[in-house]
Amino acid sequence: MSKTDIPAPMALAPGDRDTPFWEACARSEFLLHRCDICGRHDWPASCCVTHGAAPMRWVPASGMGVVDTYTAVHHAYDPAMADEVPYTVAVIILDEGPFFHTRLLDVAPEAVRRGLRVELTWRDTPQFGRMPYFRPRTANGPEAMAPKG
Amino acid sequence: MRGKFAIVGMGVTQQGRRLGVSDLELRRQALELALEDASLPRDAVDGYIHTWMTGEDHRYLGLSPTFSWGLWAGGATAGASLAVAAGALATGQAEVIACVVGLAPTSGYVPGRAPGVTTFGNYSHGYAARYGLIGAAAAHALHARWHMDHYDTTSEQLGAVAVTQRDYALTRPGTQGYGKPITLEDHQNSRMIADPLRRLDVCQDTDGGVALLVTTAERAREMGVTPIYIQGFGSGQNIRHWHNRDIFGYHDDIQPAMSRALKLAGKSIADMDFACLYDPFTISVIMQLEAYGFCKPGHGGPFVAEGAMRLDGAIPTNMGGGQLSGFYAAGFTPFVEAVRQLRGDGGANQVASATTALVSSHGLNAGIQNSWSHQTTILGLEP
Repeated sequence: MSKTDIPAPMALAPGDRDTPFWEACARSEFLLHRCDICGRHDWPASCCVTHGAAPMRWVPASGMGVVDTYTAVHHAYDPAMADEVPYTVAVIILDEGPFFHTRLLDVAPEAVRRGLRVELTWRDTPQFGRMPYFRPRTANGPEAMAPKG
Repeated sequence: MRGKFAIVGMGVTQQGRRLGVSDLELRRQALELALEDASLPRDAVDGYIHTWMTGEDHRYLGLSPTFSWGLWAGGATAGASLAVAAGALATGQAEVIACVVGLAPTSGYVPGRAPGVTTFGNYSHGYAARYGLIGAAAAHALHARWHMDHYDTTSEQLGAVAVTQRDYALTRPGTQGYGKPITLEDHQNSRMIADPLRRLDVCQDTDGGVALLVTTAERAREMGVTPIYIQGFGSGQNIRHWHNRDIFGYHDDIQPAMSRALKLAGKSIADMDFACLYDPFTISVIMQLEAYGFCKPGHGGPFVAEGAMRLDGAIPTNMGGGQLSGFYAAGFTPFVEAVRQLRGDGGANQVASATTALVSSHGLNAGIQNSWSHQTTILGLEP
């Protein structure tokens, strides 16, 4: 039997509610979705569990967080990532509260632990443009965070 | 509801990789085996619940039910189908309901998809796939790493689950692990998939069909079979813990599922003679044993390493080899073993004097990785 791998549905659909987030990434701005009423932050674009979808707005975020869990992926599920394995995928708890799935850079997989303090860094990727990644915190702080002015 | 509904027939086809038989044909075979098991004629089936969403079974299976519902809660569908069946029986919608699965992914038959095409199983949303978080193993690895960092659970303890279940499968014909022993060293040497999950921490897809026939207790007693009573069930959805922002410490939201199931059954966890747990990965067994209260939170690793899952252990678990070493039938695997055990058909792996079983189901995320459904089902020999 011939086996044809097709890519995971990673592309953004036209009109997707997360479009403002990814457009901001292209400007090196890291946004979260926040409820205007209670101030609860979410990601991806969400419906506040208390106040619904109407009061949700995109707001600048700190780009700081800690690792809640992680895995070093050794199996090359995506042939496009075959030369990157093993790579570390982590779920960050951002300082604003929400989880953020990401790739960890500048740290060996065996050195990652829950509670590792991390900050945002940008990477330009051929497939998805500028993407938020995370790395252990540096003296410089997260890269080019909130929009100026 | 306890004592009102019972499983009176079970059909289990050959289970294995690349059987070369279509999913539809596997469902027909499973149904016929179940009818034979229950000594029921084909036209006795007046309700049909099908694990998945296609609706073309009845011509092929020769059935004329009053209802035919596709139900999909991923690996939790088996448990969910019994709950739906109980509701339909309770309200007089049918008398004999067939809950059926038949899948043949390793032979290229996947409903809704062209033959031979596979996908990554992306577990949508959160854009995690853009970072390389792809497939069920990586998603469950997030739970495993959380548990290992938080409780010092070890890879060897994960391996104890794999070895214990393989030891069970060794003596169980028809399982993937039949006659193929593994050691803890084999586990430690097996290829890393998504750290900490190695090849032997991961179950493989298999082809196969299972049918369970469910009816009322009155009808069951007239039939002269050994009814396996559905004593209780309950549901939980882990999206609650996504919203609560503590999801990775919870391998499913088991608390509401188990409390409802136990209440309906009028039982406590201490009454369970054995457990058949949904086990796509070794960590799943450890975290469920903890969540169900068979051991303290965080003690699941030492608990399984000390032999708790074995026949002479604290809670014999997955005596058919489970999904890891038995077969993967979209959540029907643990029900098959529970029914076999309660009927006394466990062979070399029979739990002595078993009358009450805990069965778990797990699957289908709610829009983010790790937000799976969970079903608790309690089956028993007593009404």
